[in-house]
Amino acid sequence: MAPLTGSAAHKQTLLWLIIASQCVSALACGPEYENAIEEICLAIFRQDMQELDQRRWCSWEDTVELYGALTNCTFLVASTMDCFWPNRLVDEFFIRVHRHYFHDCSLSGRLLRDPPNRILGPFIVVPILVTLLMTALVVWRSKRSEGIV
Amino acid sequence: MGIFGGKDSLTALSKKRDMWRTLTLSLLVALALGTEMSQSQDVGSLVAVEKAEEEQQQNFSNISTGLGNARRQILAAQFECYLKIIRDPPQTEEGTYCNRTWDGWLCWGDSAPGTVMQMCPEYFHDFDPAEKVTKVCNPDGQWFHHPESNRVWSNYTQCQAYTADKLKFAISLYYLAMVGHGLSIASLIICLIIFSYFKSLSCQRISLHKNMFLSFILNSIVTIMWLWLNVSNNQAIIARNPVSCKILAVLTQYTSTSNYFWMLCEGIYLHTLIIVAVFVGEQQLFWYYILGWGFPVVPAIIYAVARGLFFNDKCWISSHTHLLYIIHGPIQAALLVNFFFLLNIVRVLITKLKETHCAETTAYMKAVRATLILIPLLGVQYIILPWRPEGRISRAIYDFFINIFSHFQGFLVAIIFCFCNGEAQTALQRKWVQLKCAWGKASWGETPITNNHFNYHTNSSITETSRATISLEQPAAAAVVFEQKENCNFLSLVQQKANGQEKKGGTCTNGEVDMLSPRETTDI
Repeated sequence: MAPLTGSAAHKQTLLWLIIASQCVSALACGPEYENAIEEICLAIFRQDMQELDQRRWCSWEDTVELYGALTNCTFLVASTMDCFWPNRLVDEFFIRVHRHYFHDCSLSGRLLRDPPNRILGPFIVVPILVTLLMTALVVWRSKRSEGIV
Repeated sequence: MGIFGGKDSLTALSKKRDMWRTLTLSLLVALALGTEMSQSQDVGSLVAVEKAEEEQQQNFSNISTGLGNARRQILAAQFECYLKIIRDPPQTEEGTYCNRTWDGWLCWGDSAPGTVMQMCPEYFHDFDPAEKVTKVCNPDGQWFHHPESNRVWSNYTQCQAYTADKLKFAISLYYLAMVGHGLSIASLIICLIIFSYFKSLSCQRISLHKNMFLSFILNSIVTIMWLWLNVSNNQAIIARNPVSCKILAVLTQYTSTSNYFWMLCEGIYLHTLIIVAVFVGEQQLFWYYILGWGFPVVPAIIYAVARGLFFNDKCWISSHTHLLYIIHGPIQAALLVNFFFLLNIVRVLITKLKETHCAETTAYMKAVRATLILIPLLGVQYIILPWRPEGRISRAIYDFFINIFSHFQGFLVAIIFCFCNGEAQTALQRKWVQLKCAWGKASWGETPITNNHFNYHTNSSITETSRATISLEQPAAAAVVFEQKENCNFLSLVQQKANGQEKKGGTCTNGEVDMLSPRETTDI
């Protein structure tokens, strides 16, 4: 329910933004863009994140849709203001967002990636060692046949 | 194997900036009016603008299911990129450098002026993860701006430049693999039938051969199923992610490991037979069965656990992970051990050759030649894997030959160990003559009792040794056969005598054993 009202407000403000931006003739990729994303996108995101329990801010499953909406919003604002996306302002904006909301989230675990070497190493070395051990065992056992040691 | 899936049709679209603005506005109007819009269309515009701005050939991947997954991956990459940006320590080196940034698809750290490279991401089906992405840092500390659109630009052109050609090549490799494995299954089943039907051929070595053939057959069957799933682009099945799919993945690894471990068993058996326990009558095959069928379960289970914990993608279909070394490591270890065993055998043989100066032992050398050639040949794609060339054409040639080697292995094994095996040929000829005698008694005058003659002109190693053993063991019988009148009944008597002599002691009448039995050679 809550995200629905958030996105409805999102739609309305975006509509006003379109109307406003059409009146702006000068191309602006500077402070106007920064203000726009702060006022529109960040406001919506802030509202949505407040409705979410703070302990779940680092849960990727809960925040992926909100984060995606924020990213989309910055992109749409950029395209209406004739800016390319992403740019330096977007970088700084997201750095601020991450410093505020996600500063203690784990660095990995959302993308498929190999485990670190300290985990991967034993997983690879142990089967090799067991193989060599097993081979030695079979060689030793095959020497021992009926009556002959 | 390097086949990357994706039979999506690639359609080229080119959009101008003004059109995008209009499109975006219409999208926003639709939003404001509360019209339902699919997630993928948003992403489609996001992706398309990126590509349009790069002013390269624009290709859209299949919009429906692929981009939902791609969008999640891109968002996750973006999230982790900014986390990394705020966590990494600030640049301490002197001089100008370009700031760390997110370019929309990949993360770039602080870089000195020059060209920085990364591997292509795997978001889209037409992106090849083996290709490279480049980004240029200008000497003044700014990232490279594309001259036409004046935006910060990374070079993703290589990722999809050769996709169409690579796809065609991959499809042809797929058909080659299917043909190879099909031929292998057919020839190996024939060999199994031959070895099982003729009781005169059964001995310990042949039992090991039969098990190795069985593991080849299972490997080929499972590989055919796995390749079909991989390349035939069954996106529906992969998207559903059933458990049976993952079981097939683990089974593929198990049969592959079992294949190479049976080759190791053959090597250990020969080694024990010739060098270690020469006076032993019969070895216990129980431990060979354990090593060949039972032990490969261990790396397979470890692989399944590791894959489930750390790289749990859909259907476990991705081969771009180092977790595969859990399987390849033991296989390489087995190949290496086998190679050393065979080298040891050759060393001992050469030593004995010098000592005995026995003419028959040269034939004995050739007997081991078959196995010595076979093992490195069969493992060659693992041995020379580190030397995979970098260039596109040379890599394609390399892939082609490696694929031929690995998919036609079963067929090669069938030819070397079965169809060129003198004993098998002898048994088949005898059977053929028996049948002919049974059908046409009137023509018995013409039936050639030349089972032994047949083999004189083949240059197979084991054939020569079998000729030597037959001539050594049954001189009287052979003489009788050649001198007396050719008669099918007499022939059957001779055959029974031959079978009886071959079964003496339960050992194979092959060169390796007889040549080293004490009654034949002077010293060991």
